[in-house]
Amino acid sequence: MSKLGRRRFSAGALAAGAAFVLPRVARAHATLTPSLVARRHGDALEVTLRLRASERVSVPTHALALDVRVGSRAVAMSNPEFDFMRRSRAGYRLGPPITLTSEARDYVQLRGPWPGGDRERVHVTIAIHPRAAHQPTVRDAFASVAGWSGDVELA
Amino acid sequence: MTSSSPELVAFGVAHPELLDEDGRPLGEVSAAAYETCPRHEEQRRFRDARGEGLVNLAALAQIHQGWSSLLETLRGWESESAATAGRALRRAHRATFRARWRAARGRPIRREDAALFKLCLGFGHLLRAKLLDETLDADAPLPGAPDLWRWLDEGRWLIGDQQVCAGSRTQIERTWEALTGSGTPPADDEEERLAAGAMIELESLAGVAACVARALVRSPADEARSRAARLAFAPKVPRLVEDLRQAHAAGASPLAAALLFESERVPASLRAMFERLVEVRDAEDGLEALDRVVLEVMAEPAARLFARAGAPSAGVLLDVFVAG
Repeated sequence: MSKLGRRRFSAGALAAGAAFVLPRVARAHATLTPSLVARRHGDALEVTLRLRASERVSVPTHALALDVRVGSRAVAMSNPEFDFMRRSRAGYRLGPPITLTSEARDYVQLRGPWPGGDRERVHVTIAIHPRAAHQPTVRDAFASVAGWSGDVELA
Repeated sequence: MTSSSPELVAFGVAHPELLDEDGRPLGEVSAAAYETCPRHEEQRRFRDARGEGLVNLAALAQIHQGWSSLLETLRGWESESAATAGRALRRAHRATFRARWRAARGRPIRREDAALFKLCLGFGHLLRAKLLDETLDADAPLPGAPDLWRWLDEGRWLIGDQQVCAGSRTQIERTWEALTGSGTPPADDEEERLAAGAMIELESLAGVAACVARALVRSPADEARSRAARLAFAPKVPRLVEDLRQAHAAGASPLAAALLFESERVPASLRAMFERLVEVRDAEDGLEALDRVVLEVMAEPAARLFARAGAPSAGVLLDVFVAG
């Protein structure tokens, strides 16, 4: 008997509970495709994490950290909607949790000061880390954008 | 009593800011008050996933002062009960509850209460995660140190946002053994034990409500009208609620909250909540039904928690679970 089965819930409670289960991030027939875009926006560096899924899925972005660097220098990123964002060893915490709707796409956007000074082009490295103790399914889903790098220049 | 009453601050998400008799915040580096309290940090190197990291030696010093007594307290709690993972979680939870319970009743937080909080906070988080993903079974004993170290290293559990755990490997293993083992029951504070039990129940109910609400929310406007919806998306909620939210995001049923308890110890209020999810599922306005159900099932454990402090409504308690 399963661990939950030993708690002996009624069939009604089990059925109702099942109705409120969210789709898994890495279910075999659901694919989650994250992608990163970095661009200059005025005096700011803007990084966007786009999320696209084949169906409605749940993405616990609050448990991801984003580390943006130019060379070895970390760029301070923020999002005015999330006053709880804070630098950790792994980077800036994203959030809050996103459940992709039936349109199956959403994004999280962060901004920081333009790190290039007078330069119009900088080489940016972005790393996404699941925060400590996070579910392996989330680690798997974000492995494809774990180490993104590219040039960002004045548009 | 309102959500800003000192008693309720102790039970809400702002409790890491509570100061002990040394002027240290319970939440240490996670508290704003850390900036102004006496600090002693140092870079240390460890033989595990922590590698080299910044440690908080001031907090470690508090734990050192009462070290033997802290372990004895943990071993003694409920030593008459079977040595299960469920009991270990209750011990870890009670260790983090004692200081809050004292503050809620207007008493100063003693150094040993703060040390107990800091010693067990991380173990509570680890145990909940492993129970919810079914690595651990609340009815079974805890495994030994090799499994503990594999989890700690693989999950990077000892690495915080700004500091790493300061405890030595020996200290971590001895605390794990104390959570598992049995000793002499302390001169018990029955009232504290009952209140701690009510609190874990209330946080579990709030966590279930957050999970169910997350599946029901259709627009940001829902958060303005539903307490459960606010719990689902608030950036800061009690740790137990956050653990349930994470398990749910990874595909667990809201009923998984029952895995935090031994089979025969699943609280009646939690069972009642699960039975009433049928009402929520079938309601025209699911969020409205959910708010009603969770407030009704929280009423009894909330009355138990506040037996000595006047009984606020369960709604006030839900508010302090999301209010800073």
